[in-house]
Amino acid sequence: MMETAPRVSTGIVGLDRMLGGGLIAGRPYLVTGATGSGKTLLGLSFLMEGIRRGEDVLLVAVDEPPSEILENVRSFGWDLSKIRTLDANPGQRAIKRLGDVQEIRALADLRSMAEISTEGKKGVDEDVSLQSIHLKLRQQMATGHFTRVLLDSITSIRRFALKMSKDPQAERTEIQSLLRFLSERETTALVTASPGNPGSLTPEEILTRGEIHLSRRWDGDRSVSQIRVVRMRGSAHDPGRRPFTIGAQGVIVG
Amino acid sequence: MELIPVLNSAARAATGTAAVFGPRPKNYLKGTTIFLTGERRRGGARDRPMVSRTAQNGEAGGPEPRVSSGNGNLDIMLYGGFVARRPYLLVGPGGTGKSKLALGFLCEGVRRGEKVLLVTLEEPPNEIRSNHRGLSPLLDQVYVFDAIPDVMRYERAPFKDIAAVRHAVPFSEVPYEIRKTPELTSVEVTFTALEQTLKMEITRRNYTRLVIDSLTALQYFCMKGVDEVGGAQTFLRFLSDLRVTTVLTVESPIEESETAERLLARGEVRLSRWEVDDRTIQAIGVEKFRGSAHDIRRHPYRIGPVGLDIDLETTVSRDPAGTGSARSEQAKERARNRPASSLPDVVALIAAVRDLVEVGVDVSSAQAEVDRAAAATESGRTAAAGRHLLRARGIVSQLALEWERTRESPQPPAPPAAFRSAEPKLEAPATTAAIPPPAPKLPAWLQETTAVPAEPAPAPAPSARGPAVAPPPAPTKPRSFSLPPVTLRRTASRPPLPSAPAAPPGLVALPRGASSPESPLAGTAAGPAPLSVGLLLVTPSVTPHEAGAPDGMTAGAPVAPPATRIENPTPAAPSPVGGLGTTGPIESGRAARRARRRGTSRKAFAGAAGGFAAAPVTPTPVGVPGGDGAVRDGPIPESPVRSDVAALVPVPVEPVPPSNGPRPTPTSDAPDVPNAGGAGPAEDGTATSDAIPIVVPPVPEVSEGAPAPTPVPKGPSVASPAPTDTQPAADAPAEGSG
Repeated sequence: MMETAPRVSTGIVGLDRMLGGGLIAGRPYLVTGATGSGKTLLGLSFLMEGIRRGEDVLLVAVDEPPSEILENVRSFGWDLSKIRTLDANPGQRAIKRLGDVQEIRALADLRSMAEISTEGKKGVDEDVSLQSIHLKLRQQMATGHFTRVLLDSITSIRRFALKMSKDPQAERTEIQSLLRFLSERETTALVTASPGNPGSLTPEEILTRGEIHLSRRWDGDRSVSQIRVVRMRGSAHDPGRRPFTIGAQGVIVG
Repeated sequence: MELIPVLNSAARAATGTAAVFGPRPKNYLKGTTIFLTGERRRGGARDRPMVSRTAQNGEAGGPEPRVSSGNGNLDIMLYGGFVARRPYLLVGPGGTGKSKLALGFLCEGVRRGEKVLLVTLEEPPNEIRSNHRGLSPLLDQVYVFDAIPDVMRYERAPFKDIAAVRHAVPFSEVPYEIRKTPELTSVEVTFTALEQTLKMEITRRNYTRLVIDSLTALQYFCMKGVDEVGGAQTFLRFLSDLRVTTVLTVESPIEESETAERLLARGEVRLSRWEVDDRTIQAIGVEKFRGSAHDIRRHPYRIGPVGLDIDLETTVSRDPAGTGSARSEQAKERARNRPASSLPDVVALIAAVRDLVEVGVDVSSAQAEVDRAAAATESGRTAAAGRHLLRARGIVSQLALEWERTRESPQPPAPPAAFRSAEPKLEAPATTAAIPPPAPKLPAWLQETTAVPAEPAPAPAPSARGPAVAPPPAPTKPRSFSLPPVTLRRTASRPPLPSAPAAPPGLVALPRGASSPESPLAGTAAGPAPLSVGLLLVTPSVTPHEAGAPDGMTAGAPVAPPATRIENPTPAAPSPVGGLGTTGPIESGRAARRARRRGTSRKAFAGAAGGFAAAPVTPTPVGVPGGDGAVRDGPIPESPVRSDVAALVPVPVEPVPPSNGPRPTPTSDAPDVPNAGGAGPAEDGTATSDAIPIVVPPVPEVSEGAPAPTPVPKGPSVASPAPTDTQPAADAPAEGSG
């Protein structure tokens, strides 16, 4: 039977090479890096590659509203129109965010399905919870199969969507559950995350099967973006750092 | 005192011990210290499972047998393997090979016909199966229990007990597709449920090896409502009660954090990863190992398809101080302390013998060895003297331990006052009159030390006991995890011989060594002669010995002699990189190999005969093989640094039949000061967390390691001329894993 796991191209030739052929299909991977290091673009290029191959791909946008993402990549000439998007960007909710924790969790059970679809209608429903994202995904996946999913970003989910859950155990379990769900659907998922406290370990770090780290370094007066494969289960990989650039041709790893 | 039965049982145990080094895939270690393994294999009984032995006499009160970790070199670092039936931690950041190492541990069990169980909480079994294809035939027989929680249902759904739903299956029955959460029910994994399940599974199949991968995931996802720390504590306690050798992987991004599991586990193997100059260095070290001596250095490794390829000859040290001056300061400091450390060894031996005589133990066997040692010293055969002394010491340890056992009370009736004497009483008792002979021939340094009795605390105890003593108060803690730079250093020393693996106290070299004292193997046989901590128990007041002492043992002496040699570097000495003085010793043929072994024995002997061995250091070809030393290093790139240090090592004390004709070791450049990395003396020694009467092989690298430091006094220490040159993991692709 399946002796070697099939690989999924990231859409970046150099990165595929570093990964030993690409991501392994059906597993979740983590992309870490500070804000502005290019996580989202890397993820988008992963999705674009899927589009190029005629796959159904999904973007779960929590960080930025999808509209902004569209604008941002316009200068690259990327056509994102075929990417299905789950806009999980929380709406304005200056005051409601402080709402009673219990209440929101209670609501989530009943209404979470509707939460996102009715986004913007009612203040209360504007909050995005991980549960609602999860359920929405499940709903979406019941009808169609996405081979690639970009979850951008899990840090935002934790900061904003999980704010209501004070129990770290519950938070971890929910993230575990979401990632487990994605892998059970045999979806190759990229999850972006900003680096947290050094030393603290996030559940996605434990659960993802590999990690790509983006960083910047000052070389004289200009900053050089660098990419590194931190870990990659079940595959030989290049552990070194490589420079990369983002331009009209997409992400290029040198 | 009946010595024969003791020796017999020791021999028996030794045979069983050999099983630790079972057959493993060829080329697995790519030549790194293969000779050790090979030699062990000759001992026979290779396929006998350790466990049966455990069952037979594990309860007898003797030390627990060792369980191979599945990685030969890690076993060496552990001085034989894990102590059976205890929980151990495998700590490290993601992707450093924890899972791979843990799986290797299980596969080793399968190879020995044991039943082994993997409890996976992170990586789905189907992915493990595909990720670790390299372990395939063995892996198929590993039982796996999928403890990954199902996808959560937010709507109400019946929760089922995991024990009712899932069972352990061998990997061969694991489907290639990921398990899907059932439509209507989902399983929530709690650690109490998991404990129940484990208990059931273990009753059902009587597993002897267990891996929890990972404990972190268990804490993160399965301890709802339970305090993480308390949960871990309970779980570890539960595992100890299971009496199964368990390895738990722990994901830990930071190096130093005292967590419950770290405090509770009986041992901890740590995998570290640093980034240096855009490259990644991975190193493995034994952080803690209760009840046994262990290698306290960190060695770089690479991840291969079948496991971790550990380079025992290279160490990774991180320099906390960061300044060269500080380093040389420390090095000097150590050098100052060194001579003192070797002397009490002989003294302690004498004292031990005297005490044994006092309590009426027949020490004639030891006496004979001592006499031989003395005779050998007289005639200038220092290496032989060392061997004899070492044997004597083994015998004494054995006798002491045996006597200790036969007694009712744990404390000697006549508290060995003599042991309090760290002061050199060379001319002490009549029984040991034979020992003093070395005195006339004592190298200057030793005499000097003799004049300075009762050296303070720094490093007195005999090196052989080093293992039994707490880690050294090194000026710079070897494991002070500050920040890089990471320095890769060629130790040029043999890794500790795991001869003592399970060696019960009695594994005296005598029987083997005596049969063929001069055979090339004799050295090795004698080398690892276990030094029972029993001896330590008898001599409680011996000043604690800094773990680094083994390295210091001979150091005092070599300081001078090598220096002379150093002044005449071989004209033929090519560039350090050019193969001169590279790791040739192993590759340059039998003679060199033999020499190497002798060196080992000498190292081992360090404690007792440090002084003897150290005196007339003769140049040897060992360090100077003309050959292309890089060959044997396999995957690990050769570096100038390493080669230089290797060249420095005047391993053998007696000239060895040179393959290329004797050449002075080209040590002129003496660049890399092994300990300079701030690793502290401990870096070269061994330490043990607890003094449990377990036989401990003498620290082997003494004589080899010692010369290395010698350059220190000569010049500014060049700690890391090319730290990253030895970079093992360099840019080459490494195999990832969990």
